[in-house]
Amino acid sequence: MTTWFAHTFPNVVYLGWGGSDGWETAIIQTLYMTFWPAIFGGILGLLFGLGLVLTEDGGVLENHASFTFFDKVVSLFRAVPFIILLAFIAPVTQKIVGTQIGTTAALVPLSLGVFPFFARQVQVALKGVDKGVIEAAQSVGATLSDLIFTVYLREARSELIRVSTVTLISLVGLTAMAGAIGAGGLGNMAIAYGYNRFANDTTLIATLLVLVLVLIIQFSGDFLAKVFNHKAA
Amino acid sequence: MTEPIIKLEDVNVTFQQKNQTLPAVQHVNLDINQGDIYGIVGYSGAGKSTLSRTINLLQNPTSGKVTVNGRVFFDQKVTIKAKELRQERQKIGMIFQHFNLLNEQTVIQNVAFALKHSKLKEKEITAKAKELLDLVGLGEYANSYAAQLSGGQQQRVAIARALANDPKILISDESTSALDPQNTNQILDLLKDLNKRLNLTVILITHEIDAVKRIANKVAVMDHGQIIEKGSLIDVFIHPKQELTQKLIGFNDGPLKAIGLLTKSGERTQDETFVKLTYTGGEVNEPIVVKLYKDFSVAANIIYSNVDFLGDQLIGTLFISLQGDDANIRSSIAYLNSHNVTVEEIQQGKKQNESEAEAV
Ligand SMILES: Nc1ncnc2c1ncn2[C@@H]1O[C@H](COP(=O)(O)OP(=O)(O)O)[C@@H](O)[C@H]1O
Ligand SMILES: [Mg+2]
Repeated sequence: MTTWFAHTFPNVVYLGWGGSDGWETAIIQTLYMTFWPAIFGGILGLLFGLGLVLTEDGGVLENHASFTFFDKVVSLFRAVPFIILLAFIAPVTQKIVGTQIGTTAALVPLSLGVFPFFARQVQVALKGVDKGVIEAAQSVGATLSDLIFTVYLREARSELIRVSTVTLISLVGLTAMAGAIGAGGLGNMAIAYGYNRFANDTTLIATLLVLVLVLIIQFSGDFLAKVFNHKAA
Repeated sequence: MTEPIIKLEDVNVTFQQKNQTLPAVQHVNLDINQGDIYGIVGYSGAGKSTLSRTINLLQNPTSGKVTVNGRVFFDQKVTIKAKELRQERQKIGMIFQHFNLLNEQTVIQNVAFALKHSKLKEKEITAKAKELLDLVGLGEYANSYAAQLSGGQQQRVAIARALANDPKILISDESTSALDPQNTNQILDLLKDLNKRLNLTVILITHEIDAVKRIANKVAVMDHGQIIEKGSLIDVFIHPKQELTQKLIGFNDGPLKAIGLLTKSGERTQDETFVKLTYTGGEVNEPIVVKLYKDFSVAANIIYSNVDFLGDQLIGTLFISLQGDDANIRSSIAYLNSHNVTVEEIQQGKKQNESEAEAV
């Protein structure tokens, strides 16, 4: 078995498990680049998504200027292709994390790249909350924080989990591109060590590992979305 | 008279659409007294919901004055602070066509949500929520989710939630329109019962006239944003002035058809006088006919008769043809009028559709 593996995937074995070029390192880098941008981009996206829904026409904090601000910022960041964003915000990255290259440097553009996508998804999810339910809550004297936490976020919970799943998966996709600034990860493994070196076995295994990660995210997301849904089918 | 609990003065709501203005509520004046069940009827789009939402300022009027519980909420502009408005809103319960419960909260949490900003402690909130659920007969469903309940049950939960802060007013916006007839009647009877027991003022918004007939004591008819007719239920039902009101309540539908058919078929002669008698309370059909014949030598033929209930008040309608000496007919009508029977003469010799439109 081991010999069969070494024979069929020579380049994979050559890279090794630990070490700076190893598989373990790449897997950890990908998880690292998925986790922190998911937190930062997630919080930012949630805030912007909430802002969009609360300040829209007919929203509970209807305010045209604020809405336009949220809307334009989100649209602007969405319009910039990620690979260009990586280069473009390098000076900002330098300021925030003290370096322009490496895995940690990738966290800044990844967060900023994923947040507008998530903000739009959150916006759609929150808009799905029935206006009538909000009105009913207001009619019993609900405060703004009740409306945000007990009505919007809670009622849309299952939908928010669903869009978070989609966002996480697209974030995994973005981490592959972060290789361009030397961030490593499985995507980089597939391109730099696989594709560029004509090592197809490396590309295959890196791709399979990414696929496993995506499937784990998808299944957990679907499961949680179902558990937290009490609406009629 | 004491002050009305809700007073709307020249209330207007205009919606600004892209390039047009839509007057959804126009020049509405309405006084609602404590203990009233005030029906507001009209077709869809008439402005009923918008009007009701001005009462707790879920919708700010464009102009006018809104006074509730003696407190001016709006007088050309909002005249109450946001925090106080939230407190006042708790005294105005509201229920809706689609119940609008929180799907991700249990039944008891839905009710407790309304009590979050009351002075009660957490334990007391739970106890009160439970009590309210018992009041609407759903105590055993406390830990269910809305989706597990029937429409009628969900509306009961919504009622419990609306009553949580012991409001003096309950606004019901089409609360029975999504329910089957049996559930509709149960909910209406529950509202009536709450009205009696708690002296709760109910605003019953609906396009279903039967709901109003069942429990309201007053009614206003809305059309194109305006209140075109209002008054006590009995007055409006017996003497509807506007054509739309007559149409909504199906005024004279059946009997006029009957008379039209009779006249057309030539079975009847010109010397007949058709009259419509309306009476409330105890008078019964047969004795009137007998009396007219015995005392006035007038032959009365019953063409159509109907007994209807407005709340628990009985309303009888009797269409009869009278044959006899002119003078005798006059005096028999005078007799009936003096005995609390409203007599209206119906023009004859007209075609059915004409007489329908011109019914007096
Ligand atoms: N928020 C709104 N913005 C614009 N138009 C509205 C709004 N709410 C209601 N309308 C319009 O106002 C009119 C009255 O609506 P509504 O009060 O819901 O009537 P009803 O409850 O009698 O069916 C309708 O033409 C409706 O389309
Ligand atoms: Mg309506």
